[in-house]
Amino acid sequence: MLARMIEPEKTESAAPGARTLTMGTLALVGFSVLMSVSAQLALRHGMVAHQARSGLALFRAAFESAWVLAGVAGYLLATVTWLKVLRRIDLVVAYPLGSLSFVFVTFFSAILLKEHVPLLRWLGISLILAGILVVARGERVASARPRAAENRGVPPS
Amino acid sequence: MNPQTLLPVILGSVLCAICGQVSFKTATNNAGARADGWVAFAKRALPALLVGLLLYASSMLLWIFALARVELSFAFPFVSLSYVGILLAGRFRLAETMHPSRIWGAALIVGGVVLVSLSS
Repeated sequence: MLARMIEPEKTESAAPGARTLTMGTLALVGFSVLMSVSAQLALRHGMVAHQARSGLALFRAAFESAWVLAGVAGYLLATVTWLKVLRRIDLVVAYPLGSLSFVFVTFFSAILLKEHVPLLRWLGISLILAGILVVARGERVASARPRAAENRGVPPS
Repeated sequence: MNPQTLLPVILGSVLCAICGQVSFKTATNNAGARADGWVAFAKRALPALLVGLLLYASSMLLWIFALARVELSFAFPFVSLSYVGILLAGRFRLAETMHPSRIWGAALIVGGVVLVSLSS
């Protein structure tokens, strides 16, 4: 799997419009975002019981928690899937889709973890989403120039 | 506990993740083609790859530490700083130009993160 990650990019994919969003790729995106969001929820759910602990005791408790281990595994799976996604679609498309994880994590933190999300936090997240959309738009400009934006995607979380 | 006291840990975790990704990219660049066989290929990729893995592991440990003490909805938005980090890495390492929409986008993301950091 790691060997796959460090393989150089195929160059023919740089042609604009060549990398369209197929159902298969969309399913990969969905899987990656789902994994990333559930991993974060599992990590927090697993760690919230240990907030009084410190130092080594904290990490020992963390790695004995099934929730935390599942969270770490989910995170790795999400990252590897996301790298696969980035080879198939351009950042213009990938960034906005990936940014959905910020909405989902906040939403499910409120619903499942019973966190109180103040209005100011939602406002901040809206600005972040707007920022990611603007950056993605910039990648369209950048990818019009040859090989500028290649393989620089941000993995989720 | 005041969640702002955990800001150094959260930001440290995000910074490690950004540097980890840059290391992976460096490993890809160093590795080049595989024409001269697997062993030579792995030898070129390995140093930066190991640094990247180490950075990702540190990022995860710091993140786990932070999540024991702050809410997920407070911590997670900071991950969006990695978009800014990757832009900066592109600017300084790959000498890409910072055209206006990248600067505006990065400014919006940072502004959003500042609002989140004030929300407790």
